[in-house]
Amino acid sequence: MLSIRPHADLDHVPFEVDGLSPDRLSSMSLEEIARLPAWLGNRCLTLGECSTLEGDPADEAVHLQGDWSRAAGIASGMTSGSLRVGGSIGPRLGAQMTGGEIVVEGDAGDYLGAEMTGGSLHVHGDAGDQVGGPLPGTKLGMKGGTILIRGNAGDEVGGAMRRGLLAVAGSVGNDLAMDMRAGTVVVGGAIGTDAGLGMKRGTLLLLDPSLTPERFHPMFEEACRYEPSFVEIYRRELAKRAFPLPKPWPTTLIRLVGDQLELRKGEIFIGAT
Amino acid sequence: MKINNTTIVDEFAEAFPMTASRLLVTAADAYWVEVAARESTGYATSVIGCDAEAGIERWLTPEETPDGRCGVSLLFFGFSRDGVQKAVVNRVGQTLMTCPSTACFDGMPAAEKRIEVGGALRYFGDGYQISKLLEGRRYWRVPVMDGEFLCEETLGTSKGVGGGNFLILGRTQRQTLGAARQAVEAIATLPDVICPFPGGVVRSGSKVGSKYKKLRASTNDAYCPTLRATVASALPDDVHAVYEVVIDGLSEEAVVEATRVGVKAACVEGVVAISAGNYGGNLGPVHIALREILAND
Repeated sequence: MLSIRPHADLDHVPFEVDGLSPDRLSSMSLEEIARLPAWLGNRCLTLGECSTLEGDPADEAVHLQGDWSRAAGIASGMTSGSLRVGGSIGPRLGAQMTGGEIVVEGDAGDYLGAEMTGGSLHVHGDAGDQVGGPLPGTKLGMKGGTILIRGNAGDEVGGAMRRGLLAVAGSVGNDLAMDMRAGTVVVGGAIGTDAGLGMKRGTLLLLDPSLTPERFHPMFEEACRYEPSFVEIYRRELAKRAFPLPKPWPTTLIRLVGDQLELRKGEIFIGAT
Repeated sequence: MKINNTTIVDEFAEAFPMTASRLLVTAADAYWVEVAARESTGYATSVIGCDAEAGIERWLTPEETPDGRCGVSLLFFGFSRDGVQKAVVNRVGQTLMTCPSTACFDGMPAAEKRIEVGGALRYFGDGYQISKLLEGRRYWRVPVMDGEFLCEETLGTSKGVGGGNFLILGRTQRQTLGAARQAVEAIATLPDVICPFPGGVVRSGSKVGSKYKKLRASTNDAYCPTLRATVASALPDDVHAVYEVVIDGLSEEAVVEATRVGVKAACVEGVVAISAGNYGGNLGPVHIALREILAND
């Protein structure tokens, strides 16, 4: 395993290292890794000048120690291996990743897992805005893989999501799953305004027991109350990944359908009291 | 060789390779699970005249099923993967999708070779079907009048062995039928096997061919007690009823173990001998010799 700890003075400026992901580092020596260009603000240094490197990267396992909350684009495009972040990390973690596993013990920034197509991201703390969404200038969000957030997340979570599983144990901000194409979003806590607006297909499973059908945008209409079998499959998958599940987990669910101005094939499930 | 007072005849069962698939079926409660199981495995005794051989492998607790409801594990056997696919798609479509509250899951998720089932039945949803892809497994949610029918897109298949069998030769019909039922109940506790005939028991054992050219199989006259004075009978004088237990399994080992357990369970009061059906070794490559598999018991 390769351990990287940033020097303390990185706290105050943005930090970006192109290609810092386990799969790419695994074929490099420590010296080669130390020579990777690292942008510290508008200065181009090397990773070795900005951080302390220890261990062996050959096993595709990387441990980022210390505070990486200013570091952007870490593990973007990652294809395999495992990355563990001991503290918090900045924006675009795992953006466009296609495989591998990332665990963040602290918080994660905006655009977490943006446009990812595979692999898994597990954040023990909170995450920022646009989780699983499209990167600026593009149309579609995540197209596969799994994002699990044990804490809260910000606005526009799951925006324009095309495929995959995104679960937030806590609350989320406004515009949840805006323009969603497909996939599944699970939220255990409170939600902001305009959830699901513009969604064409896809599933929102919203487990806050205080939610009622009247709480949603007029573009969503109640269809029925029933016990869909597939929800239990998701519950078990989340439980298998030690994801904190709301208790009690509702068995009978209310299905709302929308956005009525789109295909009317998007669905929001809330618990039936 | 004797077990209790029953003679184990020096014969072997002649079995043959098949293709198998396992379905896990769940429903709202045990009543509808049983309805689904019986309907979907009905008329599936022998590929001589049915599209598949099928049966209940075992009942499942809610903890053992993918959707946390009570369920059942079913095995389907056919001569080819295409044949199994056709039979399973038809049966799932006509007997499980129609059955209230059911869902259908893959019982061989690790299998490389697969048949498309939910992927074929999804069109019943007329464009309103929804797929969910989780951990590499795609589930189809087909809207139906009690909610939705959930069915996995593909089911795994594996090689199997069909035609394992043994014959229970008894003094009376009542005693012989009791022994056969005990044998089937003992086999029912084992994994990877089914007994596809009614209640697991066959009374119309067959031989290959017939005096009638159209028939591929006809009654096993040598084991019919009513024909003892008519044909070259294989029955001892004190035998007046014979039942056959046919076993299909996911491996030769599973069929051998089921035969061993079943034969032992059938060696009870009133059972004169246990034999096995074969065709001289010319039909199937899997030969299960009764005395050999019971030698260590």
